[in-house]
Amino acid sequence: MSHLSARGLTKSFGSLQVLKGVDLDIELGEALCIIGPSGSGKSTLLRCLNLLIIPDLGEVYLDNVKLTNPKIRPEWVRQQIGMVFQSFNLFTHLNATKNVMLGLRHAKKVSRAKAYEKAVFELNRVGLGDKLDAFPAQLSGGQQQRVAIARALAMDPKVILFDEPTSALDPESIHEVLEVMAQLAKERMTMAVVTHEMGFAREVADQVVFFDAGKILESGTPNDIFDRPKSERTRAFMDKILR
Amino acid sequence: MSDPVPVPPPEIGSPGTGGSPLPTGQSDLPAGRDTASEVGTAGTRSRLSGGLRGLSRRIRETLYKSRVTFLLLVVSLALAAGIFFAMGAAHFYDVAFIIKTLPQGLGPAETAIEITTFTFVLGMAGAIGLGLVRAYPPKKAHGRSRVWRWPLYGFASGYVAAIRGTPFLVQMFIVYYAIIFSFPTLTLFGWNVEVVAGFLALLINTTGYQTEAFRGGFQSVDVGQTEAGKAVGLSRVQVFARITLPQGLRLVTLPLANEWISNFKTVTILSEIGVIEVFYWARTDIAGLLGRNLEALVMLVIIYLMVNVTVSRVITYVEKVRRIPGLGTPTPEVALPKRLLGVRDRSR
Repeated sequence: MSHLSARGLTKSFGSLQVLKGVDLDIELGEALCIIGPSGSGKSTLLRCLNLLIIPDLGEVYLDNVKLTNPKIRPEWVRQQIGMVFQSFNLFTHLNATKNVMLGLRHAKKVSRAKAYEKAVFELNRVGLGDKLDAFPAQLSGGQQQRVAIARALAMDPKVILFDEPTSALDPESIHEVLEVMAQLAKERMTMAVVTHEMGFAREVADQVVFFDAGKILESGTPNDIFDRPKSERTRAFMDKILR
Repeated sequence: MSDPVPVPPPEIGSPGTGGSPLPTGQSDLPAGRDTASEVGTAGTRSRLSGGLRGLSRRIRETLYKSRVTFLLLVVSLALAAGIFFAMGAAHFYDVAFIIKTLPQGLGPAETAIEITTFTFVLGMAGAIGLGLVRAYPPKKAHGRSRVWRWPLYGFASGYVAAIRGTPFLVQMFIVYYAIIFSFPTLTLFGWNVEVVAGFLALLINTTGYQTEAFRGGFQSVDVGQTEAGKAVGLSRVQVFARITLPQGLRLVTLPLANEWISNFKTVTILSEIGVIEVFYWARTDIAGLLGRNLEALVMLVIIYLMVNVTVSRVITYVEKVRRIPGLGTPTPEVALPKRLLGVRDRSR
C-alpha cells in the first residue's frame, strides 16, 4: 500500500456533497499536485487527510495505520502530516522563531533549547535566517509563507499538505515560495499540493490529479494530464487555462 | 514599520507650513507620510484652503505627539485645580478643610480599591471560563454530539442575561438579604457580613460583564489561527492556552479596563448596605457629622479622578507594550518609565 492513501472519502456540508468517494494514493517521496476548478472540494479533500475535517465516510491510511480510526488522536495525526495554508495563518502574536517552535515545544514536548535550534535550522533552510525575530505582520507574504513551510517542516512530518500556498501572493513572492517547494520535492519530501500554478505542477509533480465536483476525474504523470488528457472535462479545463 | 518613526514636528516658523503659499515645495516638509500629495494640491488650489488644511494637519500631527498629550493633561488638571481654588476663594467651600481632611479618605479609598480589584481578579477567572463557553455555542461537531455542553451554555447565557438585565442595586440587595437571612453572623477574613455580601454581589456582577468581554475577545480571534494551531498537532486545550487566550487577552484589554473603572465606581453603591468605603465615609463622616456637604463631594471627585486617571494611563501603557508589532494602530506614546511594569517593550 502507498505511503498515504485515502479510500472512498465522502463529506457533506448540509445538503452539499463536497466529496463523492475519493480514492487517492501518494507514494513515499512523491510530489502530488491536485488541480481543478475552485469550489470543487480540493481543500476539503486535503483537510480530510490530516483530519482537520473528519470525513463522513471512508478511510485514510498513513503507512498502513488507519488514521480515521476513532481511537487515534487527531493531534497525533497532525504531527505526522504537516499543512501549509493559503493565507499563511502564522500565529500573529509570535515571532518567526516562536511560530516554528510552538508545535515542537507543546505538541512534541521538545526542550526549549532543542526546539530553538531546530527552528533556526528550518528558517535558514527556507532562506529566512535573517528574520528570526520578525513578527508575521512585519514580513512580506512570501516570507510569511516560507515561515509557514518552516513551521511544517520542523515537525519532521511524513507528508506535507499545501493548500494553494501561492494563491494569496504577488508574482515575485510566488516564485520564492515555489522555489522552496521545488527544493523540498528534490529532497524527496512527500507532498500533496493543491495549486493553480500549472508550470509548477508540470515541472515538479510526479503525479497530477485533476479534481472536479468532488471526484478525481483523471490522474497520471504531468505529461499525461497536460498534453494527453483523456476525459472531455479535463481537456476543456486545460484549454481554458493554457489557451 | 510598526511604530511611527519619530518624525520631527513641523516647526511653527518654518517656511512652507504656515498659511503662506508654498514656494519651493516639498523639501522642507517632514519626509514620509502623505505630505507630498497634499502639498501638490494645496499649492495649486486657493491659498486660503491650503493654509487651513496645513494648519489642521499640523494640529492633528501635534496632538498625536505624546508629550503634548501629556502636557494637555497636566494643563487641564491645572485648570481644574485653578477652578477648585477659585471656587474656594469665593467661599463656595473651605479649601483648607479639604486639604486637611483629604488624607482621612485614603483609608476608605483603599478599601474601595481592594474590593474592586479582588472582585475583578476573581471574576476574571470565572469569566474566562464562562466566556469560553459562550464563545463557542455547542453544535454537532465531527459527528460527535456534545450534549453535555448544552446545559453549560444555557447556564452561561442565562447568567449573563440576568446580570446585564437587572440593576446592580437590586442584585446587591438580593444577595444581601439572602445572606442576612441565612447566615446573619457570617464573617470571612475578618470582614463583617455587610462587606461579605457586598463583595459577593460585586463579584457576581463583574463576572457577568467580563464574560461578555471575553466572549467577544475569543470570537474575534481568527479561525485560521486556531486551525493552524491544530495543524501543528496541538490539542484543543493547548490551542486555547497558546493561541486563543494570548490573542484574546490583547483584544480584551480595553473592555477590561473599562470594567475595572466601572467596578470601582459601582463600589459607591455598596455604601447602601453599610460597607465602609470612600463614599460612605464622605456621606456619613464629612457630610453627615460635620455638615460639610460640598466639601465631601469635592473630595470624592478628587479621589475618584486620581485613581481612575492613573489606572487609565497604566492601561494605555500596558496596551502599548503588549501590542503585536505591525498589527493595528499604535497607541500614542505614554510618558511612563519604560520598565515600570517589568515588561519588555517589543513594539519597535
